[in-house]
Amino acid sequence: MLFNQAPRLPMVTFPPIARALGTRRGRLLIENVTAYLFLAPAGLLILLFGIFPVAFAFFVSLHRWRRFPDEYVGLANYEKALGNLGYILFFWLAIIALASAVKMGRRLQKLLRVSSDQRGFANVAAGLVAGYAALLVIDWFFKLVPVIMLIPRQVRRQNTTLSLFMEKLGESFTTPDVYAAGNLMLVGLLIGILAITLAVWRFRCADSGQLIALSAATAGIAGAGIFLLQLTVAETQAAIAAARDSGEALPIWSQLVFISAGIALIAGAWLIFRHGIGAYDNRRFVLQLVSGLMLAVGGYLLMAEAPAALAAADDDLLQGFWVTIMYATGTVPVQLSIGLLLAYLLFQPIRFRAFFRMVYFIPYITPFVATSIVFRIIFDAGQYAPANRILSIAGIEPQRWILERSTIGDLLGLPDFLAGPSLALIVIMIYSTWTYIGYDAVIFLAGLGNIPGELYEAARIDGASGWRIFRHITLPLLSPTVFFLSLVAIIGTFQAFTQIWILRTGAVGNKVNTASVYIFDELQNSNRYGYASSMAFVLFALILLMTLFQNRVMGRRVFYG
Amino acid sequence: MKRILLVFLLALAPGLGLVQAQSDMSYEGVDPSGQTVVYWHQYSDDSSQAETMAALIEDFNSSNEYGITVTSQHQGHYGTIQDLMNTAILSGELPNLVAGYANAAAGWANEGVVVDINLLLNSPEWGIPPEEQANLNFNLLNVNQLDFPPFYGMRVAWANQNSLNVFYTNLDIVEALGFERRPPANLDEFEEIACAAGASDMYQGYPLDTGTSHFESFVAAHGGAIYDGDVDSYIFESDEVVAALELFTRMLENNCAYLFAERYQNTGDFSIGITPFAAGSSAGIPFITWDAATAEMTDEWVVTAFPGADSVGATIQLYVPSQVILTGSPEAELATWLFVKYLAGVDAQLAWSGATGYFSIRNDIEVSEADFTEPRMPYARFIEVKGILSDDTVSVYSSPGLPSYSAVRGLVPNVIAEVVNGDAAPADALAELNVEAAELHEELDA
Amino acid sequence: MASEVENLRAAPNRRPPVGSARKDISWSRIGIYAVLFAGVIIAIGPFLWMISASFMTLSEVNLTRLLPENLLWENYATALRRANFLNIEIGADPQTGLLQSLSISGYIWNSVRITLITVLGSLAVCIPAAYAFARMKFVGRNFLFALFLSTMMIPGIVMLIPHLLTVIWLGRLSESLFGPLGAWFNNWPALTIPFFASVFNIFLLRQFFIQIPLDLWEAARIDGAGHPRFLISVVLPLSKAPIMTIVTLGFIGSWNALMWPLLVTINDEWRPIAVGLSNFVTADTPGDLNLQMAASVITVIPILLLYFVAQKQFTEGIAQTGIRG
Repeated sequence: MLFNQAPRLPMVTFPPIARALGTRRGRLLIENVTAYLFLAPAGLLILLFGIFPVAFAFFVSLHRWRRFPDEYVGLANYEKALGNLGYILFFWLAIIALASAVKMGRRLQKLLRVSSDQRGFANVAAGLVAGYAALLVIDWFFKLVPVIMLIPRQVRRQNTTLSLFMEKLGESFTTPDVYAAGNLMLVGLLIGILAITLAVWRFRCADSGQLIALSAATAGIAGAGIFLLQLTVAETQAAIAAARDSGEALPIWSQLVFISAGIALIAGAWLIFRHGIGAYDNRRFVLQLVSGLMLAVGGYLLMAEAPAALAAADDDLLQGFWVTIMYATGTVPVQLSIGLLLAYLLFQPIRFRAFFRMVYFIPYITPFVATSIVFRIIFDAGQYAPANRILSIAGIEPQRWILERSTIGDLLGLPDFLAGPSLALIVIMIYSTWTYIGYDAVIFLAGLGNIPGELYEAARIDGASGWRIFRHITLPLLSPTVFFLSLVAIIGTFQAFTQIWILRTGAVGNKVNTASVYIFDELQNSNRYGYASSMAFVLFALILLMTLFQNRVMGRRVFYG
Repeated sequence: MKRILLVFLLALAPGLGLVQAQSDMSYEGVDPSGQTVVYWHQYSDDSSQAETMAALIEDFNSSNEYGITVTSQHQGHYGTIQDLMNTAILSGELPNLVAGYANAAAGWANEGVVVDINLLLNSPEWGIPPEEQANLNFNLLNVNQLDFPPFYGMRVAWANQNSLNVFYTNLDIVEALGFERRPPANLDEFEEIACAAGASDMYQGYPLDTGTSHFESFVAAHGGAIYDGDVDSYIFESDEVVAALELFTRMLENNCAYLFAERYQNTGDFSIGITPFAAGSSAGIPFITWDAATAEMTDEWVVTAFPGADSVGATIQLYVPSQVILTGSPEAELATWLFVKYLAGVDAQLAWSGATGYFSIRNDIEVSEADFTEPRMPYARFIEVKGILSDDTVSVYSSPGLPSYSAVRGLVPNVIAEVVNGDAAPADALAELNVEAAELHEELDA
Repeated sequence: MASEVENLRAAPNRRPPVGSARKDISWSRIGIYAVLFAGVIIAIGPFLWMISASFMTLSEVNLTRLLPENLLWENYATALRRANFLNIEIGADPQTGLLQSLSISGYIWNSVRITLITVLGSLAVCIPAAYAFARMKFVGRNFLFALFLSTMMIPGIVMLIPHLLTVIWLGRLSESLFGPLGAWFNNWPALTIPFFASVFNIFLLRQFFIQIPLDLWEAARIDGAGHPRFLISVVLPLSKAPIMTIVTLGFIGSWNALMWPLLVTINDEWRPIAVGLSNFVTADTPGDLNLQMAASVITVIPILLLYFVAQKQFTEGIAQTGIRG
């Protein structure tokens, strides 16, 4: 707890430094400062190339934006992408933000109760001011960025020298709007810094650092939540009013309620079901019954409402998500199991292990540009393409492979709901699997090497068979590796772009376009940055959600020996 | 916060209408001396285009009286150039001259980064005098003249690489299939022969490209277009477009045509003598000739305009990749124009056309056999294609030079694929496409 | 303590004594080899055909022959000439024969430079950060680590435009400070700096650093060493294998990077090999597949050599980080 007394920001002046250096607290302060210095380069770069882009994409997505900023359009881009679900998502986002602000507020409350004197409140006040100042910084920043972006338009037909650009850059800080926001920000920052200094100096208590940090974060997140909520409500009302004017009803509110209820019911059903597993017979039955009922009602609500909420969505985007999901489910498990199989075999006492390991890795290190050419030739539609020659040995008709829009379901004459991916997408899945198997195998091999040999020895003495050893010793002990690889693979497949981009043909059209590819098309062909950003942001949210879900569900089963 | 932003952006809006703002610009009295011109092109190293262009640039650099220096840079294919231009527009640091089609140029012009070449062309001091302009082929040059709002007669680019989307016929195969030894006279005959080829053991049907411009050629062959300038809208639901798509569907269904994956595989298959027909740019003739020689294919083949519907007659689509002068200082713009003007001169046009097989933008030159140095293309072919261009009975089509065309042409292959695969009816799919295209037209061409 | 370090190093050499005692050269062993060799054929079949096709005539490639009739070495000469892969100009003094000037250019050279800078920069940035997360206590550690990790989930497509803007304007700032050498765009910074802070590398190294026994740190601190010295003189020497792992992965990623370098290079001064290959392969004129294959092989060779040299340590490094979720 003690080290929390150190200020959150290393640059804050901290008077007692000199006299405190020798003490334990002083050492902790030095440790904090050193740590932040160690982190500074990486942190700065991640701020620039990881966090700023997301914030910026969000900002862009609220505008009509074609290469350059145009008018503010609120959630229109999201509505275009997802229909009414766009509004609903924003409600959830706002609610999540507000809920986490409340949660943090309650933690703050608890902390205050412990410190139980005036000093705690002073720290909280300072933190809140600092949090508000942070919001002012963001506000200023996003007023500044569009102005800077427009500079290239101002310098047209002039000799575009560096000094001209720098001059315009300087001017952009003094644009009335930016200037006003900048002044406000400076005042806010000054007050914030003063408040923190004051709090740390005059009102220092055991939890100063934590109190200030927490209250600042609470203020920031609450501000963002309120902004989002107000934005969403206003936009929704406007959309409903606009619909009413044209004589239509736009049941966003009821959809919000029903879909949220549906999801809540399903989540609740799962929780109750899990709770029931540990219960006694009678109670278990009741719990399972309740959970089944909730699942049914929730499922019904979703099935009834979701299509209507998505009615106005961009079909190509939905198709993109669907392709993405098929692509992920078609590659990740296959790739991981083959990788594990190869690794397990390689792990047996065999010769040429290094050779195999080397060879399996080659697909991963060869550039896509090169290997895609070969795959295009192998899976060409011609009668003499290698893949078709292999089929002809088995007496199967030649296929059109990367040109085939039809699904395997169609080709085998299965009913529609079993259609599955198009043959062209399957070729791309094969390509992607081929690329990553070696990578997975090498990492699995490393994971296998970390399992202590004594365990195998003991199991063998107990007379366990090879399969049982694999099932009960290898697999559990390997679960961290499996978890890691599947996490990386799922994130990778959801962002999948290059493999599809270079193997797709005009003839299969959108049957192989993942969400990323569709978004890129939108960006490249029509330069609708605003719309593309909104879709990319939805994709980001989806990946984040998937990862959290995977962490929750799968992370629970990971065995850390 | 958002309201403040809105007000602020609205306040900036008047500054955005840059397209018209420059029309009162004049180049009289501007001094182009000592300027450097950066030129982005798509001629891959080692090609005859790249070599000829390099030679012309060198000649210009050493001979121009103003000490202008042109430096050229190969930037990959048109797609890459579009990507790089997006970046350049974002950064404001543009090259001076860039290769692109009319629609790409229109898109850039919408951002205000394109110079109206008419201002330079008609400049008393620097332009081409009217009596000499009479020698220029404005049929080609006017593909880049955008006569609709918001461009109002702006000349966004200068044609330099003129070719045609032509139709190739292998006469020996046509004859072997039992037809008269000549290219198909109309679309029905084309379909009939292609079906016969598809049904034979020896040959394949027509290699069908799902690309947009190939489709447009067939729309033109039906007497239609995908965009109607008079009503300023895309007309994908029109009868001619539907008929063209129905033709595609029918031919694929009846095994009269087949799809292919690799770019240029259609002309590739044609050059090894397995299909009776192919369509492609006349710039591809050297490659067909070369591939045919490599594969020892000795059949006789001819180059013609597209067979059209009976009421339409033969049609041809112009391909006019051009050079776009981008905004810079007036001095730099002028210097760039002087280079473009140099390329339009008699000597440069003779060298360029002779070495690459592209048509000249001048009417007053005749590339003789001695001037024709493109190693992989027989002179006779060049004359053959030129004959098509000067044939008055052939109707000429070119793609709309709209900014939205880049986006719309990305949508077309998917619709074709959807329809020929039987996932949708031609009319329905095209009606849907028309809605999307209208939306893009409204949003991107305003 | 020493033995723990030994264990750390020896980890990948542990293997289960499965079947080693029994001498039966049974069907199962044959089965194992059969599966492994099938894997080999699938893994490098396409690659081998690429090499084979690079020696073929065009019509042999078009007919998808397995092997060329004659080895056409000139394909490589042509590919090298057509795409600006590597130019070495050695200016020797005509009298003394001494080296006067040496100028190397071309895509391979660019890629080598870019890759080296990226990998070294990434090490310089990621090692301290990973160390801080693994071995130091500071306010907001968990929050920051989660924030770092969450950036891995951002789809690349979101980043494209903001990254361009950042690079353009940071470049202008730096150019006005340091002159033309400080430019970012179409220069090494745009191609390398955005990749320095690799969250994956930080994560991987952190996993390894966490396992270094606390005793070592206690001992070092008694000797009066602070974190920086401990990192340099104790942790780094122990971390050769994990570092080799991230170096190899960094090399592969940087060598094969395509989309971003394509957007931020406008001439051959810094244009890397993947872009060069892509431009060569996707030209607007029909290309020759055999030459494309030759160009592809040229592209792969350097990275293959590197992996060949580094692969043992690479694998060990992965094992030692004991990747955990």
